[in-house]
Amino acid sequence: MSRLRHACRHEWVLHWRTLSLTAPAVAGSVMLLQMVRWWRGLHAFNLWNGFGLITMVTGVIITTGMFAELRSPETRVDLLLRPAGILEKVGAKLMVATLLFVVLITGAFLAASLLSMAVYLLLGGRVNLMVFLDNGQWVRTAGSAFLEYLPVQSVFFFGSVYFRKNPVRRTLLVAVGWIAGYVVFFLVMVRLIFAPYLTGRYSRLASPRALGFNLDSTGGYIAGSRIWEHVAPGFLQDGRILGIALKLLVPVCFWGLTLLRFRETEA
Amino acid sequence: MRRFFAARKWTNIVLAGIYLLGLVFMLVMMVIIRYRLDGIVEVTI
Repeated sequence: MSRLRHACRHEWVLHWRTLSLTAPAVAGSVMLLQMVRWWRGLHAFNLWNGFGLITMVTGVIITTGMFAELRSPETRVDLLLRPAGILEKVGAKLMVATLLFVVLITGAFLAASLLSMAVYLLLGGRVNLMVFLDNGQWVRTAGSAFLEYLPVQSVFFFGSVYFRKNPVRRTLLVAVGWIAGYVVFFLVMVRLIFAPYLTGRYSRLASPRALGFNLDSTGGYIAGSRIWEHVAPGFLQDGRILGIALKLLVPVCFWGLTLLRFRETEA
Repeated sequence: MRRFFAARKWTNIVLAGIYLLGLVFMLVMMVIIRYRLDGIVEVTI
């Protein structure tokens, strides 16, 4: 535990400068961009609208830099010889790239919101003050942004340790290739498995019927959603369960893979 | 070929496993849907 604390402290010191500059800079730029629009007339604005996207993009950039030490011969040895286990080293990096980063950027956004509210009041604005704080929902917005950031973060975290050069570009490329592979496989399989329905073999024989509908071009459209309710497994119909499962599985898998890859690198 | 196997790493094997698992999941779902679809579709000749 004490080693983990030291590893965390070490990572914190290493990345403090980047984090402490990036978070306020991003929040400040969004605030200034909104303030520029005040020349048309003073109005309250909500910085938290773009918080999720900004957290994700900035977080991906920070995350892919987490294993930058592995890419330089001098710091590489320093990282490998650091007196901590693999779990502690990777855990410390993960802690900085997720929890500390999100706390910092949320703090920066909160400060920017309060600052813009203060400037708004100074300039004579009096209405809709809560808009600046996302109508009081900023904690919830930050929380959901954090949960959505984790799966993306885990993929790029793994990319950062897996690829020796250009981790951002390569991870993106592989992710696109991965998804494209699934899409092609999906199309081929749909064509093969649902062949009798797609090739028109049934319609030439006779009109197929399901749930009281003729499955021709018009009736098929009307019956489509009802048939789906009958044929699809429950968790495919309710997207929430699949979404939660993915949000849990993706981080667990890719953080685990990061550990594995880091262990192989150390060996 | 020999070199490829020599460079084999567990990370790559696990990655390939996850990819294949996704494909198999998709395939099984489609077969289930086709099976259930056949159950409710009546074709009269």
